[in-house]
Amino acid sequence: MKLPKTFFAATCRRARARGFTLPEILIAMTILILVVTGILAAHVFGLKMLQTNQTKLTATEWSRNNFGKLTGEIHSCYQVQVGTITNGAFAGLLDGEAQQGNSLIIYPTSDTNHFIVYFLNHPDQTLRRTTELPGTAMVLAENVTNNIAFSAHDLSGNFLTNNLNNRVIHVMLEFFQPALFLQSAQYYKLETSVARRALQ
Amino acid sequence: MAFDRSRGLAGLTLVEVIVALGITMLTVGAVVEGYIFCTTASAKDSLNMAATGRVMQRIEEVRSARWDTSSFPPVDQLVATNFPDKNISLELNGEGVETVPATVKTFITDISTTPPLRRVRVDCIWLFKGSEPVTNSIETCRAPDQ
Repeated sequence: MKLPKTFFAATCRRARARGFTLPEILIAMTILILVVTGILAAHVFGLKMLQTNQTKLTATEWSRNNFGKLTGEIHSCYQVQVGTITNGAFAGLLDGEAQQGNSLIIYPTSDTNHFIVYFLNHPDQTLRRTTELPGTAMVLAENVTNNIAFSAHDLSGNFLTNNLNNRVIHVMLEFFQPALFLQSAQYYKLETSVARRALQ
Repeated sequence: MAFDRSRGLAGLTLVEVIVALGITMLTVGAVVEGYIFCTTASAKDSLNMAATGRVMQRIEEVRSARWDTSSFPPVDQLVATNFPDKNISLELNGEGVETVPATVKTFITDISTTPPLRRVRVDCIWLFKGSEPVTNSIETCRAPDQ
């Protein structure tokens, strides 16, 4: 017996129109949720990695620019001294005192009226640079949390307690940025050491 | 026609499922491997920068050594015994955690005595992931103090 083609066409339409069963829907939704969750987790992880690397790259770029300038100024200077800033006035450390403080004065020449000062401004946690000319103070870095940034060492890395001429100036800056949305708290540290080239 | 109907209701064969799972696993594996590679490269880069920084610090210490051939008696602090091997920790993120031990070695050799000139090489040797040795080096020349 041969059935008409319209019979099979109607049967296939019924099978296609039957839809999904409840278990099929549940399984499909579960798989979809797993996949979407995985993709979202990967994106969040990628964003955090991007943020971390961006912070590091920014810090690296900053250190290359500013530490490069500071390094050049110390390399070529006539005299350099570690000290403390109190009420806007620089006070150099004396012999017998541990050579570490929140500021550094650089004399490019033998003229002591011409100088450059790097200092930590604790109220707003910034590192600043200024010269003897009024209005030249500029903020170099923000969120600096340490109180002592500059110290003087001998060639073996020991802290100095005198104004030894062939000293190594050590600079250490610690930064902290609080946690923000999708971004964990950032803490990082920059260090460098510089020796004056014209030793006496 | 009966063949077509049974095919429509039969679902996937075992071979098809295994092949699909294999392709999925390869794709997911490649993505995860990419993430791991990026993270590892970032960590290694951070440690490389930290090691280079420590080498630069030692170079500056060597630069501060007095070597005055014109004074009497001559002063010569630029000798290897003044710069013994130093064990340090490289910090991955500056928090004092996830540190990697490293050794800074200093080599000072004569290039010539007339005119006096010495070669200074500083190596920072450390192990990445505890097994892959990495050495960051900087080499420079130094003449006596002027």
